[in-house]
Amino acid sequence: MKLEVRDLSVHYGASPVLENIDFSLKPGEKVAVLGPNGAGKSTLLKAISGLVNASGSVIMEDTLGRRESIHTACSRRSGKRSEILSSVAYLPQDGLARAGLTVLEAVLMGRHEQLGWQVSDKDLNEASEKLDRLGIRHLGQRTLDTLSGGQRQLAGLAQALYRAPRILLLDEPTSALDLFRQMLVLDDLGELVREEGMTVILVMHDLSLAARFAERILFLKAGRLIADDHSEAVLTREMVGEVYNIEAEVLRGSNGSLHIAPVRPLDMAFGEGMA
Amino acid sequence: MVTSRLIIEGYRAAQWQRIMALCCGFGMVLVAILSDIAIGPSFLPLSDVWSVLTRPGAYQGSQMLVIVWDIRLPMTLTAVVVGASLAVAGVEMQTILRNPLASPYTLGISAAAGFGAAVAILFGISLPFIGWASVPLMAFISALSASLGVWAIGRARGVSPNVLVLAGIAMLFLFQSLQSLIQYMASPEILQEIVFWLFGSLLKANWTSFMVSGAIFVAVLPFLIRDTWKLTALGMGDENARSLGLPVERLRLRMLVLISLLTAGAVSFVGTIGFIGLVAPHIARGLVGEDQRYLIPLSAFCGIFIMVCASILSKIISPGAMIPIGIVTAVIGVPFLFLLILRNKGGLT
Repeated sequence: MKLEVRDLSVHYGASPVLENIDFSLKPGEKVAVLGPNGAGKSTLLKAISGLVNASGSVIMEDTLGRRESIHTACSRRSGKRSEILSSVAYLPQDGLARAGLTVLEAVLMGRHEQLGWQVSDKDLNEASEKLDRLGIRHLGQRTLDTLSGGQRQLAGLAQALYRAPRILLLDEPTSALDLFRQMLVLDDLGELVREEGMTVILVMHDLSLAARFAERILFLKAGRLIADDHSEAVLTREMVGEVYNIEAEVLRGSNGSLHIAPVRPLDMAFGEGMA
Repeated sequence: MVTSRLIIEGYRAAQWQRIMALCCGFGMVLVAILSDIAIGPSFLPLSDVWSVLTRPGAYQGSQMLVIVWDIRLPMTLTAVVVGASLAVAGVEMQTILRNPLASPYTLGISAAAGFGAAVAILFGISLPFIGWASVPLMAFISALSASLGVWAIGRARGVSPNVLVLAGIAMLFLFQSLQSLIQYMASPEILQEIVFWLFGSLLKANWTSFMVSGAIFVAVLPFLIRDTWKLTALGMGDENARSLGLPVERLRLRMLVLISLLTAGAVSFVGTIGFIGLVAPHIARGLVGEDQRYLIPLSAFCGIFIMVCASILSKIISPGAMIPIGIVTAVIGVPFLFLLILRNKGGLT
């Protein structure tokens, strides 16, 4: 599915959070959204999935060339979700709250609108396959309130995958994961993109991980899109320094991978765009 | 494939346990109901109770028919409906506020009902044709207007749990003060009448009270059943629910209306019954978890069970005089709650 974002702006009260964002994504692209705290990264994901009021347009186009704006899809008050809306899955930063539901039940809720009174074997099969995929099969019968932050993050991710989206929007999906699981999750997402042509947008803070995962990087600062290019082109010493106000070194690993090492913060007057 | 079969089997086994819990709950409720009908100033054997209930025609003209059908059955059935209504209202209140301390009374609905009743008693309001229903009707109208107030605030200001709780506390204080004012103004005789109304008591129950509260309960059920999955999904937090496409705000407002109706229907006829709306959902949640397909019916069973047991107890403690049931439910409910707190070790938050 193609995604077109045109002149997107979001205001919370009088203050702008996102201003005139423009970009479009082809099916199967892996994109990382980077930037300092309060730059509008999460808001961008929410605006794309239609969860905040925004001006401008977000348009999805499926393989048959049918186009629909997310905002007209949201404003329809009918109980049934449109195809467009259900093809977008957004995993919020907070993910799943501590609740008494088991992980399997939480994953099943990903398609609550399709569940019958009896949960079918097919639904259970697919849900358990997602648990397997993320290596949390053993947590299936545990309740969410007994899990660690990272385990809940994986459960949330399983729920998002269970919705079988065409566009997957993930807000810091690996922030609470250990190194092994960070790689596991990102490699798995990469596989999904390759196999199923899913488009993935990730909000991240770890630049090296972003370089490893994403082909394309969007840099946000103070609500504006200041860079949108191939990761090699964007992750430079100058750009990273400019966006984060730090001195950084860009290193190259033996396998050619990019690594960004922060050296020291620049002046303290920085703070523009902080929420 | 083997692994996913294991997961599915685990899920199905858990479902069976929950269904068994529901069956047990239903059985206990049935026994409690029959016992409640049997127990009273004159004790009736359970077998007689059963046959009077199933074949009333055979007992034409007998005293037993009058005792069972005209005196005890309306009381017991009212207890059933009130227990179920308060328990279900409590579950949904805790669900939409995502707060285990919430109860149907959190929004001040019962205080408003009490105020309405007190006004009717103080001014001797008597409606034409249905004079006997004046007090419950006033209580009902007052309760609904209070919840309408909370609903309006929620609608104008967005229904976050905090706004709702705050608005509810405001309503609670307002109506409690107004209630106190009425009591202050009343003469000793009228004051006694008001205080008696405020104690929840099944002595006020009759076939009409059962019919009205029961009709409300039955009318509300289909709406709950329709939103069962949505309510379950709401348990994982607002953010997640929104991202799953749930209309969180609209769902809250809709539930608010249903909770108000259930609560008003329950308290307007029999007065304030404490604790059931808080305790019954907790017991049910401990047994079947947060899947609302099981949580709603089991909460109702727990509510009915506590209510009917309280009724039995109130008859046993003071034969003939029947202690107001509102007092007994709290006395039963508090130890239950203590037990839950001790067992859960902080799991209540």
